[in-house]
Amino acid sequence: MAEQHPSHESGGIGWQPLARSVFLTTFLGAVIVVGTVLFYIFAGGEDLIARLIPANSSFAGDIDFVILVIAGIVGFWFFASLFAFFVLLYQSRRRPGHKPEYLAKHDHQLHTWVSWPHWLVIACDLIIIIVAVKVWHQVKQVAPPADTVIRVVAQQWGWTFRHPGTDNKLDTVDDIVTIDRLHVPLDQVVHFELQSKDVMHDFSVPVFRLKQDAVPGRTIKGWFKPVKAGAFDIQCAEMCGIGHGLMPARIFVETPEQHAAFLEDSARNASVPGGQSIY
Amino acid sequence: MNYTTITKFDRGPLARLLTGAGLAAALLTGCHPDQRMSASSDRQKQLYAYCMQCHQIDGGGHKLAAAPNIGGLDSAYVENQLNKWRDGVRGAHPDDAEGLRMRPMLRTLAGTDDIKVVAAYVASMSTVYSPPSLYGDQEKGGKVYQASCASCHGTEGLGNQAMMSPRLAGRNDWYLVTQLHKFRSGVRGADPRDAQGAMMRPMALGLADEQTIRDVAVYLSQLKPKEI
Ligand SMILES: [Cu+2]
Repeated sequence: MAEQHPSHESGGIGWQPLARSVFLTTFLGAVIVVGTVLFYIFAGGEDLIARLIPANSSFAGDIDFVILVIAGIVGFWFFASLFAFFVLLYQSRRRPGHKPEYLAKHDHQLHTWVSWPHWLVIACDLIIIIVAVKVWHQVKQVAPPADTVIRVVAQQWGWTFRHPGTDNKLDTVDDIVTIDRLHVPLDQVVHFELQSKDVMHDFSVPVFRLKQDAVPGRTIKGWFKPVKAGAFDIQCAEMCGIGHGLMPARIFVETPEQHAAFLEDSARNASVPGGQSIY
Repeated sequence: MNYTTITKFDRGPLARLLTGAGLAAALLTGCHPDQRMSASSDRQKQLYAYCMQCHQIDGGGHKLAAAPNIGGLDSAYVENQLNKWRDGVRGAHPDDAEGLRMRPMLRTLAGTDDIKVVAAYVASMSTVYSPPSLYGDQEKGGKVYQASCASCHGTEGLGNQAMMSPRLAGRNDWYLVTQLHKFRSGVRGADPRDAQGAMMRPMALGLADEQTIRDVAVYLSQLKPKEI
């Protein structure tokens, strides 16, 4: 008997050791993932994401909150269903003295395993939708009154920024036009007009949690309010050709003194069209 | 200047972790920089790989990508222009759409003598000629060229290395027209650090009209020096 069906022998070289190692690996993986997440939650609390990437705009916290809500809910169901799956796998494992059997379940059991989770998932979806639409509305559909307006023009493969200059009006003679370097005042509501000269690009400032596609032929308006001074990355976030990965820029969030110095400096050098070094 | 700010892409601990993991993976898989750069010609080809996407493997250029033929330009001129792009002297004007396409490519030539190496490689290629893409009178163009341009760029259009004036014989006519317009408007050559641009701008402004520019461009695009 044993010679004829070696793979069916208990503890043989059949599927059982394989299943066991798959089980163990998945379990260990889940422990590591959950452990890391728990560590960050306890270490970082609400600032879980801000610990990894600073949250430097007025709405960055709201967007992080939506991401955390989604990650929390989806993560809960992911681990809950994995847990149920492995418990059932363990309960129905192959062992001596037990024959495989087909179990016809009754209605109330179907309710337990299908209906209730289904309604719960829909309830969770509603929570996600409500939270997300609220933030979407406040970030993308309405904007606080502008303190200053800038124009961002994307092209293959660079950024042109038009600053309003000392008169704080765009499209006047004292406008300051720069390549790959954007200067904005701290704690001011900045409205931007986003354009593209050629293909689709995406104006992304990770520390602001800002991401907006630029579509050729359109002027797309948006806003942000920087809350921390410093120099941060801008990156094109829409694949736009061979130079896409080489298309970063910098945003300088400046205190009133720094910004005044920038305006004065640019006004003084207006007749000198020199560009900045690439590296 | 601003050396540190523009190359600092620090997005926090996660980015550092991923960068570290990437570097570790590169080391473990045997991707050693010195190994790749052992042979000079390998390094030339490796550095040119990015240029090739637009300028083509033979340096023949690609009009749709706004990339002119570059093969056969002398290395001193190519090096000079690449340095200008790196320093924001060329291709940093907001209206220079084509120059701005070239600008980020200098980020792939950040090594100490990368620019020299790739310039030498471009110079080792031969000039790829294309038929005229514009209507121009070559005879008229030749007369204008010999009268106004030849003193610096040579009667054969071979350029003058001492003056850093490039070889013009065989350059794409559409490219010459665009560049002449850029010199005229100050989109190219107006940077105070651009010594050659300062010489070229008044010459470009001296060309009478659009048709003269085209005549000269078409003449040069078909000019075959006797030396070749
Ligand atoms: Cu892009």
